Amino acid sequence: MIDFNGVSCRYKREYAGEGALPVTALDDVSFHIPRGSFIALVGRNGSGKSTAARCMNALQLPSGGTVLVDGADTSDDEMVLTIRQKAGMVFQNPDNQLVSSVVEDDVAFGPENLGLHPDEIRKRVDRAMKAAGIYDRRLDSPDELSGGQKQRVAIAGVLAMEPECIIFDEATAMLDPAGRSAVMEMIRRLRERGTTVVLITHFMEEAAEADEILILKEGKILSRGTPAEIFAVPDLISEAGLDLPAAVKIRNLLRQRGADIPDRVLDIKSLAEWIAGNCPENVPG
Amino acid sequence: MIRNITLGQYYQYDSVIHRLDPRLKIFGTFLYLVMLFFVKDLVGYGIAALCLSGVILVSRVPFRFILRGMRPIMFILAFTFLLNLLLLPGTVLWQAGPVTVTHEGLKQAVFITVRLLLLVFGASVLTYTTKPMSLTDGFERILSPLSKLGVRTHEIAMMMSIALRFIPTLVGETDKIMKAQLARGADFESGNLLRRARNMIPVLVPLFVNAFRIAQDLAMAMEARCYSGGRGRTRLHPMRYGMRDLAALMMLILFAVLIFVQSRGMLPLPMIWKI
Amino acid sequence: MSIELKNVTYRYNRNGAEDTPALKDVNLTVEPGQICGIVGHTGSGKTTLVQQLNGLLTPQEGTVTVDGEDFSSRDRRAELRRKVGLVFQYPEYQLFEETVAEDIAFGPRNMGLAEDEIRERSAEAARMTGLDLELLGDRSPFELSGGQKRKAAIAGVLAMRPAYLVLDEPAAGLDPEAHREMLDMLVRICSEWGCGIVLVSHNMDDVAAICHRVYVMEKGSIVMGGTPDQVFSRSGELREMGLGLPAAAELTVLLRKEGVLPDAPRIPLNAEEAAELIAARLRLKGQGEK
Repeated sequence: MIDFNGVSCRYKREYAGEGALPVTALDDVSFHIPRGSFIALVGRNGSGKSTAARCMNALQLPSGGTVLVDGADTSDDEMVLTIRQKAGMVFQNPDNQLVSSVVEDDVAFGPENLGLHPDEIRKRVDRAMKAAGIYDRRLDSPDELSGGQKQRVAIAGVLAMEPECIIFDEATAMLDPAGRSAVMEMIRRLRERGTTVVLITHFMEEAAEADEILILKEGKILSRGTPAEIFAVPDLISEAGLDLPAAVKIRNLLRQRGADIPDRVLDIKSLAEWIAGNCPENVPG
Repeated sequence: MIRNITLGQYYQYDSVIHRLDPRLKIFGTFLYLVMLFFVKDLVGYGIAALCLSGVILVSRVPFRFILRGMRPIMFILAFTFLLNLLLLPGTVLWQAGPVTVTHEGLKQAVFITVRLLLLVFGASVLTYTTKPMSLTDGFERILSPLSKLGVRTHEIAMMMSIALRFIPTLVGETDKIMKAQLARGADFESGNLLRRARNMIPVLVPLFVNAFRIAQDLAMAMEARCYSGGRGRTRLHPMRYGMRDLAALMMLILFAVLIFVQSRGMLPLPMIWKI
Repeated sequence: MSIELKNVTYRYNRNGAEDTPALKDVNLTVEPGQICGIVGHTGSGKTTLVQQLNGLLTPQEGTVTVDGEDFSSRDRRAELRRKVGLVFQYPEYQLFEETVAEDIAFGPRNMGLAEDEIRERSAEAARMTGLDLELLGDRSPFELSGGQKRKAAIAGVLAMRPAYLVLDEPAAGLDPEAHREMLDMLVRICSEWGCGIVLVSHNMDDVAAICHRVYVMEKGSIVMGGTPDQVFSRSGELREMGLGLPAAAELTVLLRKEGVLPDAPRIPLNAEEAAELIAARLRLKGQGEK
């Protein structure tokens, strides 16, 4: 679905009194995101995650290398709108990405830009609002909604464009736990529909749900693997300035005490299941 | 405190007035505003007020909601009233020391205030009953002939609608920054005017920076959703005039004729305080 | 010596209509040298409560006293704001001065301190947050990275040397490493300065890890208060309010439901404790060695 081929993003940043200093946001990065997969992109602030996300949507063009979205080069002006329709994006700040003062008009913004027929827009907007669970708030102003609800409006706005891939650029960072789990629930449903999901996040519990995790450090890929593989290497996690999910921390402490818990146990629920299944009384015979 | 501003905001309801075509509402409001300047006496204002009240009643926007919206302009109203009342020469009605109230002054003060009130009331009915998006769409469509002359009507309309969308956000932001600076010992209440203005810097700088940040975020979000200007854009709610709009247009014309005829003294009504 | 809230009730008098109070009969004590956590849903009244602590809002009923004194009169409010520092959510959005050093000095300068004193306090505050003032002091605050901006903003409050410090979600949006640093800093401020800290947070693991006391808010009232042990042991009630638990407690609750762990009055709050408890249950050889 998305291909990065030797992508570099270098630019100059002005500092008062010190002139322009070169910044390398991405440094010769190559990876492939298969169609229908769920990839988590993690790393410290400033590791290049958001730059990578913007490259996937042609919001930023690489200074070196190419980014292909469904085979189309993001630097091809002719293809930009197609790319943006195929790879939708949900941003961090729920307030700053809603255009309209009415929920349904906001959701319609994308399809309107695509120049669709009003009847078709209506159909898509209703469908998207239902899928995001905000249909009953369709005539409200975004100002009356909670952060999590606003973020679902933003997701509906992307869904209405019927994308094949959705990129969440720290879309859960500013939400409370309830809002965050609502967004994660949306992501799970998107996966069932076969939509490709790229999730940029600081929450390791969220990353643990992905098919694969890609760790960025100082603009380079530090590692890539399934969550089970990635979280099995604590040194890697600390080198990247990240953290282990809470369940993995407990799991590792139990391992130190001799419990033979497999790598795939990454969340509290499966850890509890494993413990219940390996508890002396519960072992048959 | 500042969160209570309702002037210029949309009031969600599904009334006949809400459902009228925005272009017609804009035209209607414009006509109403123009007709107000034809009015020559209090009876004329009475007729205008009556008609406006009817519209407000039908629109189901609560009167107290509209009245609350007047609060921010109360100062301006009071100021104009006093200025006219005290400064106009003419037949003295009442005098105390240097303060003189003339008959002409009183008349003028009442007239200007009533006119201003009716102007603002009327214009606010437009914003209360029309979603900012449809309002700007309406403007865009009305002004679209100008785009042939190189006026960027779509961009102007888009800017207006975004401004409206972000008023509450920026008001909230201002509130937050003020509180944060108060917590750092900033003082917005004492000192003379100049000092107070200078004391606002800790609020204004972050506010501007945040506004730019919002603008940047929003621009990116709009681009990401395939926005590339007005060309080729369709709308969820395409504008079509209906029977309702025709009926409303008839009533508008009736209103204009009524005001005009009355101002010429052609109605069997007395003129009160004619100018 | 403490911040004492007694029967505080507060209503936002909106639209002239008296709506339900944002705070209802709130009683709360913040001791110096302790970290006091406040948890609850968005809209449960946490933000309103926080503003009572330093006089940005004053209660219609009840009293707020700081170290035994009532600062509610207009002319004493400035004094109160010096005593109780308040760090809002995303404080980096309040930076405004031309340089980082000037921004940090804004608070102390408003207090009318001498230049030497201001410099000393700024340096001390920056050191506490881990901000390199030597290197960054002359930069514009808008050139800093997100994490550095957050530090500079907090340093600006710390430079006023408040006896109490109130923070609303100070770690929101930070990456895991910066998040850990933030918690460490709060613990340091508390132990080194003997500052009384109020931490408003949604993150139960953070609260369990560093707080001495926890208050739970719902619909404007404080519905629970006590040590983290006491509060998180009432997991059923917390769940009913839709609030989470620290991960270790969450795991224990699940295992209790499965009948694997017995119901006990105490619930483990961190990974170590939970591992200890579970290892014993699994009869692992390694247990007890520690």
